[in-house]
Amino acid sequence: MIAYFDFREIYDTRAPSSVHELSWIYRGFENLHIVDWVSGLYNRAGTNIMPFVFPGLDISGLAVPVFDPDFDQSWQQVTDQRCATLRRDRFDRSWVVAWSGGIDSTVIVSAILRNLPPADLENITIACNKFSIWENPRFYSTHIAPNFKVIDSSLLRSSWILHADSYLINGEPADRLFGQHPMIIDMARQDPDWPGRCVRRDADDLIDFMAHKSGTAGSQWATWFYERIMENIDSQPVPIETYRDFLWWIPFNLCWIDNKIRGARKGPWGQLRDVSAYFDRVIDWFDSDDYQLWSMVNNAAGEKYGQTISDNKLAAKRYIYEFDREPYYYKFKTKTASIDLVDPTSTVPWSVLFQDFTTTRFCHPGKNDLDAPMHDHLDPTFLGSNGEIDNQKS
Amino acid sequence: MRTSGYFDPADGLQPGEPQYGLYQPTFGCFLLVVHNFQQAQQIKFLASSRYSLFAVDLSTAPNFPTGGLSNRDCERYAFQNQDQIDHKSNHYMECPLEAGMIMPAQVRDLGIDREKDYLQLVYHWVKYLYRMQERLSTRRIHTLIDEVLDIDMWDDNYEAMKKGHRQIRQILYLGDDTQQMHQQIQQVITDSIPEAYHLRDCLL
Repeated sequence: MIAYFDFREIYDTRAPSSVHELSWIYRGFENLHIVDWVSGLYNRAGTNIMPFVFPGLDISGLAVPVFDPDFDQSWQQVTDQRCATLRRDRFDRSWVVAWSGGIDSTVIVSAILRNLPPADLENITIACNKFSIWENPRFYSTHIAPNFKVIDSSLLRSSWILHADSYLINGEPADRLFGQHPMIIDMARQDPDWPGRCVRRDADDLIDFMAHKSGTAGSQWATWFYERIMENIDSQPVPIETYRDFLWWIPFNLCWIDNKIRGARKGPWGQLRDVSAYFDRVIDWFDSDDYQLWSMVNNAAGEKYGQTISDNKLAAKRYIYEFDREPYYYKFKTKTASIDLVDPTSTVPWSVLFQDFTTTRFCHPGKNDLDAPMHDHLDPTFLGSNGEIDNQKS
Repeated sequence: MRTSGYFDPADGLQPGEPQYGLYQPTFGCFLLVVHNFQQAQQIKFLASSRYSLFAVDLSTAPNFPTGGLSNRDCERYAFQNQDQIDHKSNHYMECPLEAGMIMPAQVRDLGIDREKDYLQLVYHWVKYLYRMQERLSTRRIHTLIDEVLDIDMWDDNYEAMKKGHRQIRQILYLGDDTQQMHQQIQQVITDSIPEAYHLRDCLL
């Protein structure tokens, strides 16, 4: 069972007292912007550093695959193979591809057009909106409009998607493969050499940087955070040597599960008691062992990030460019706010997802009987007996 | 090297006259300066198929030079308040960024001349559309008379002009080569907006 919490909700309202004592931790995370939404931080590999018990680690498909330092497939090979695998195993229903115009979903459409024959495209629909087209108008007019049926992505927010006999393909969790580009750019703005500095030998500057970014949480929080992350890093085999590695590892290890299951809480999916339909019908394109293995051995500068804000997800951008030869998107595309394909207002505050992936129970903290299970998932050592936390709290 | 033939230095400001710089973060410099924020916004949106531009109020800079910056060399400058740049919400920004100090730029040359030329072309036609929009406001009188007195006897080419303007925006938004874009726009004016033909070069 995975306990899945919305920390922002818990912190802001109705927080059980034992959870509220942890709020300084999440304030630090939130201020650091190390994840976009502080809605789930779940350890996947190494020593558990978070205040939760993680039976979720045992669930097949959520753990980090066994590290392979000799993994030598390129992004292109992995992507083309992913397309072939999905065509072989998941083409018994039509595909609805959620295209936002951003890099991740444009990789998906490029892969489809590179690898599948024209006859297959008749079984594939693109769901987008005008913001998607605005984000990548040249790709839309040249490659999407002539090749695919297009539907308004607002349909994905309706019960239509529950009844459609389709797989919904999205770009999750590509952000976790590539890591924290904005923070690395912030860091490089101070000193271009910083992202490549040693995370152990030069720890003080990294802690100072995080303390500055974390605002009111401050240096005590940054030191705590650094030490916990390093404890986790030292307990698993993936080599984390530089600041750049460090800032990749955090979302890769801690935020992956959030990306995997957050969709189940949203929009029409959030209304289901039995979420097996979600996991059966929604395909996260970038969730494969090969993508993760690629991510673990490609943290050198130039593969994921470069020197500027538009040097983001470089391997993915190169893949698109090799397909569409569109220089502006390749050189200048930055991450912009995608208009959420799922209605964010319908997000359920927190939930418990059971072991067999078939049932969720959603509740509002403090309002019903699931408060007790929530406490069951908290690590007792975090519940106020630790002096360090008490100091922080004050 | 300028190839399209369009160029407005946008300098020589009068005292108190504002100036807005369009900043491109990947280049790390201003690619265009203009006098009018609404026009800056339109240019930003039309160029958005290529890259993000951020409108910066240069007049707020303590070291804003008398007469303003010039499009002759605006690529030599950046601005201090880089932390105000929010890539995720640029589309929704209805106000310019405050410059802080105007700073020397550390430019990455990814083809600056080509883009400055493109933006000059866009700037020219945005000014043209702006001027024509003012003329189109007289359309309200036609509409009122048509509706109230049930008269529909003088065709003022309104629909043709609207279509022509849409085609111009389409060319500016999706076009690639500036020479080709120039020729396409001239053709649109000749074909669709004959009454505006005499205005086509008045801003050059």
